[in-house]
Amino acid sequence: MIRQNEQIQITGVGVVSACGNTLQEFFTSLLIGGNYEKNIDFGNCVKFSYNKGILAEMPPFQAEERVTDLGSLALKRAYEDWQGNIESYSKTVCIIGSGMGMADELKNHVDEPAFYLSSLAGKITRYAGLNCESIYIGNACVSGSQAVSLGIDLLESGYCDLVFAGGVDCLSLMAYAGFNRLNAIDRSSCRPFDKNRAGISVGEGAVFFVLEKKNASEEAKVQNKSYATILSASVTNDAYHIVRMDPNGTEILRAMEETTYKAGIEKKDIDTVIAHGTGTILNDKTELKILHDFFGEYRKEICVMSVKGAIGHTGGAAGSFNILTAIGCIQYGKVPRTSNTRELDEDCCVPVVYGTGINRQVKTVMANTFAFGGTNIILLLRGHG
Amino acid sequence: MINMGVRCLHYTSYKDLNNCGIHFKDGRIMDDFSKMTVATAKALYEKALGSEIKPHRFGIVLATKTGNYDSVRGFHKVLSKDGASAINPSLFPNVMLSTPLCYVAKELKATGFTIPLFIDKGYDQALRIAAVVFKLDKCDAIIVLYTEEKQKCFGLFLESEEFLLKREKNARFYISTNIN
Repeated sequence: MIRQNEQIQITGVGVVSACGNTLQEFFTSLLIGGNYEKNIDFGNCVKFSYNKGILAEMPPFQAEERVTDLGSLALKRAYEDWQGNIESYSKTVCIIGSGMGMADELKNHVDEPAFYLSSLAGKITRYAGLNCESIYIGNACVSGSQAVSLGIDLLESGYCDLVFAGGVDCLSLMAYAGFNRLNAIDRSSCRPFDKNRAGISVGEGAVFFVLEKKNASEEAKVQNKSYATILSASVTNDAYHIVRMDPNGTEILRAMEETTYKAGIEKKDIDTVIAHGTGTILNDKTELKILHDFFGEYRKEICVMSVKGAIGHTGGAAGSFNILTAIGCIQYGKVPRTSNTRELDEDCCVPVVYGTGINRQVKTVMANTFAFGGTNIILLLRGHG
Repeated sequence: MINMGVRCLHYTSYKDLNNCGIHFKDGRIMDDFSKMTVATAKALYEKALGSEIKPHRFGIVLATKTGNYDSVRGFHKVLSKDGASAINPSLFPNVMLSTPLCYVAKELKATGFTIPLFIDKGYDQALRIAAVVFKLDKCDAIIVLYTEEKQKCFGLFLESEEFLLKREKNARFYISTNIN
């Protein structure tokens, strides 16, 4: 169990993304602004041979190779960034979240065994050179943040004393085709909370974190190169619909209340929210209403942004990218703008950062992720000092 | 030592799915993976009187080695043969493990801790995660489900030892595990 003077801290970060491959690169790209999902270099990018209704150019990569490369590279980078020694820990666990995983690979290979899809986590862990238990969460958009949330649970319970956790997804033709048929794709760009928003853009990437329980003193945090402390995390389920959010937001609100209570802070202590902000018409509306209801009189003091305008919806990695953005806000004292958003929805009742980013001393950040299937993950992170 | 009380077990065979006597509300769009999972969860819930558990204290751990393999294959078949415009949007969610999890959560009104896992080694990983959740007092009851495509779904209705004592209920047996 965690001792009184210990907290769960993020002591290593590994990134592979269209925006950059370190925290600094990634966050600087967000600050500069841009629509990065279109700048992803896939090499030889060709239209699929069967182009009946395919509306995007999709590269001819092999899904298994792509997703395992992305994941293992980000995991390796987290390990190297951490600079610790795994041998000095009694038990290490690697938790990998992915929404689509290697599902796209089954398009090409009809002979894969029935257990093929579940082999992803073991592959990523092995390719990254880690010899530890691996856990694979396949919970759509919350996979990455649920990996972090479960990592916290494992550390708090004493199950293990070192966790690598995060999310990965590569561009998926299945996901693109599916979202397209749900009329959830915005052909121009993703514009979270924009008055004229029309849906998501697809993206890809991987982010992994090293989590451990460390001495909570400020000197120790600096000495341990702790990026941020995770104050608390909550998991709830809407139990409502397989793709739609509950418009009442009851379970999301409960998760926010629970997380805030467990963290021992008050709502007014939260200064920034990294929203789920997919750019879809209904989800953004629901999320704005929930933030309004939760923060109430304090809502004018917060900043809200969504990173999906810049990097698209990275599937199972989306929650991890939200956590990464939260860390960036804490570390650099800035809140990037929500890319592509030009005119806020008339119903927008919380301060969304758009147009230009802002300088702000960011101390406590809420990172939200909501998934197809109704699972909601809310995390609270805090900087030092 | 964490002691998880097993209130009941249930097994649904793929062969018996059409005769399980359950009416699936969303049966038209559910795949067989989801149906087996929901049938098992529902049987456990009714046997163990799950309605006595508060929804936010009710958890679900869904574990699988296969995943929704058939739905993924079916999706690719349509995509290859007829293109993206032929995809049935109602069936798209079946390619994700979050979908059977949601069907179970909806059926049981479980709004607590829910997690879908792909497991490539032993099924015990799901039980260990359930034990962690009980240790942290996040749930009073957890349904652990193991579903394998075109084969079976096996489920356990677990309650924490403390909750069983409080409710003065008996478990069929206990699963004990050391954490830390």
